[in-house]
Amino acid sequence: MKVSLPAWSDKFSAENLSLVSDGLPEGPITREWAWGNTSGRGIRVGILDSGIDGHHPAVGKEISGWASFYLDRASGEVVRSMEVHDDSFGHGTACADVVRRLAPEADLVSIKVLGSNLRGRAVEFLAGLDWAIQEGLDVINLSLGTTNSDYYAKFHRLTEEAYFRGICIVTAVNNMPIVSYPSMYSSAFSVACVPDREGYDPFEFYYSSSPPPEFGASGVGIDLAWAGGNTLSVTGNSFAAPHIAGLLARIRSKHRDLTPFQLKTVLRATALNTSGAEL
Amino acid sequence: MLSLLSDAAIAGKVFDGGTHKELLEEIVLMARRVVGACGATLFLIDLETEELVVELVHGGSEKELENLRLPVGRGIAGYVAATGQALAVENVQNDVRWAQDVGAKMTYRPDRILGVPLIRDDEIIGVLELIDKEDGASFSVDDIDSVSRFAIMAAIALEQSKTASTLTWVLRAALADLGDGRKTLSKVSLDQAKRLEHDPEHHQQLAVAARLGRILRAGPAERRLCLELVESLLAFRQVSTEEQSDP
Amino acid sequence: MTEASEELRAENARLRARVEDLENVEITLQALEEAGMVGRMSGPTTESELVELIVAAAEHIVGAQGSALFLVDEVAKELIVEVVRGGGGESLRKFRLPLDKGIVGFCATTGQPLVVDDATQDPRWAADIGDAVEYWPKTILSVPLIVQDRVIGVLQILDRIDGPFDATDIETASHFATLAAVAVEQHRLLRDLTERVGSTLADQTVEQRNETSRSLSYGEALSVANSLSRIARRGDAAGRLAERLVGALERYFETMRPAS
Repeated sequence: MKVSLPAWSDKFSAENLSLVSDGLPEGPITREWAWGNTSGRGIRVGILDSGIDGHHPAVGKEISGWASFYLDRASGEVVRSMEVHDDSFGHGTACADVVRRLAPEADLVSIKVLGSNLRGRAVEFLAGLDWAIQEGLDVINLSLGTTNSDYYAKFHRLTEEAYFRGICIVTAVNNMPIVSYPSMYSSAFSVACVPDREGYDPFEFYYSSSPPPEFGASGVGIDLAWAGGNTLSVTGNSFAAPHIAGLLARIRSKHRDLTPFQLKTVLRATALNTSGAEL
Repeated sequence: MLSLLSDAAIAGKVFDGGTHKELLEEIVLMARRVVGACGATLFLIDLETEELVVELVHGGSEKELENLRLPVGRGIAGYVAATGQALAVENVQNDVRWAQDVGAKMTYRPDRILGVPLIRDDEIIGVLELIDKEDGASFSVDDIDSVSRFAIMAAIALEQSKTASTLTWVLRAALADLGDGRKTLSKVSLDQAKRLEHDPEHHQQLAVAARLGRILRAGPAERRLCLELVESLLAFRQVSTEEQSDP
Repeated sequence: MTEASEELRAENARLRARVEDLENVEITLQALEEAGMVGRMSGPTTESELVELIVAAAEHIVGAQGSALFLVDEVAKELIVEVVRGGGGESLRKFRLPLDKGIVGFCATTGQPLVVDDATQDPRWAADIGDAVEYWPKTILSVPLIVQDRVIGVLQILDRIDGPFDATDIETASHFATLAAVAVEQHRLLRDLTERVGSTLADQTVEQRNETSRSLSYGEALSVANSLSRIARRGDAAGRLAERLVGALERYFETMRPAS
């Protein structure tokens, strides 16, 4: 009688096991290896936020895609529009600016889930994230979260799905000791801002072995593009997240096949607080 | 006694109790002091009208801000209210739309704003904003941390205020009715009772509530009319709010 | 025979009335609870949470390793430990200390702030506190909680991280003490009044019983009030709306009354 194996075990059966050859190098992972000589070309980064001001000079190359999500209270349905939209608050434009600094040639997609609709927030956010994942965007930057525990399961499912599909979800942690999804999920790249340091280097980031958050990046007193055409000097965890998103876009444009797991490994190896990190 | 209590309960629901006002003020004052800011404003979110309403203001341009209502879709406070993420801005006048929408309503022009969310039980209920540090420095990550602590306290105080408001009304009314029973009260409660006896607004509010109570007690027809009227008004209000906020 | 049955009937009526009484009181209490009033307010959780947050914030902002809050029990002449951080923890809560011992006793009795740079050397520090908590702080900052000239408690900040406690720390701690005092007083006031109402409701006189039996359906009254406050968000607007509504209804019912 043939004994059937439990599902998944097949991968580890004797005939299927072989020496791992994924995208990671055999030697040490260096910054040069990770993102030297790249610009993010061909990688699609979703900015899930308040929209992007497409007219702002700092945003540079044209925005590749627009999608906005709005809860229509009359019908109770979330409506999606693919029309060009504006940036309600200014924040999305700032995040786009950061990603551009790190990955000037990446394709930016603006996913607007923030506007003047407070009550529909969580469902709009969910719909936007779902769309971004179905679209297969490579990196999605969320500088916001929901504290609503009713949505825990839904966001968790989406974030897990993204992870297994090779999509990087980068989130900003909430600075208060409160629960905020999806930054509390292990599958996300959770980021906090590094407290005041001398000078500003967009490539400065750190790794923490006791997440969340898993990474720390610049987020204090940075001059960023703001909707309306000007720049604002801003501080917050929500500006640290796009630094990691931009970096991921850069790395992915050079190493197409890396999974989120491997990308976390690369980030860990190239963080400034990892001994032996070669700059 | 019981009808008095129920009248008082009605009054408590209708009139803003503001029991924890003192506590809330202390919290906001502390936040301002610890960080060394020129001004502090506590906003509450009004979900029905999608607005930020000023609950408390210290320093800055107090008088102007007191009755301010901001649409939630703009500016620093708006973003903080929508996302629950804390945010600090150095040169807020550079935000042209903020300057037009909100800044235009004030004579005092802040340069730096720090906004921190008030979160309680999964819900973002308000924003605590601090303005311009006295020493001219920027708001640091430490400042964000400190102010966040006060925001949590404020959120709790607000929650207590809501539940306490109605109860306090009931209890105040009970106080008035206790007569000899008062002798057993603590000094603090006695002071409260004395203060209320001489507060004309308190008596006026209780009187309105009593009249409402009498109507409801007059008979089933009266009660029904009153209920239907109020429900219709509420429904109308909700519909007109939604119509206004459609894009 | 008739007299006895008369008596019995009267007794039954009295008992029934008494039961109705109790039921009415019960219903009202229930309604009050449902309205989220009595039940929720007596919950200690949010109150102590707030006080703990205040103490934790004070500790963090001054920059220390521990802190504690004591409340005065004037009757028993004791101090109750409300909050302890940095050693001891839960085991110490509600522990009582004499009002006249130790550094905390000194502060509570005199209402004077106090800084001790080396508690091990100071005879005023009672060893019994340290033993109970298993935490012997070296540096201690004590400030009183004062309400209307009465000392109602003491806030202590323990073992400053960077160097000794200074004048600024005393000022900062005093501000937090004020905050804590306000929070504690609010809580006490409401708890006090809650107990009074509860016992008052339980003692109903005959006259009040008559009023009770005519009393309205409480839930409906509350529902009207709720709707009113939702129609006009801010307290004063809701109040004005209530007044106008009441006035209009009264006038309407006046016109509906049959001519006498």
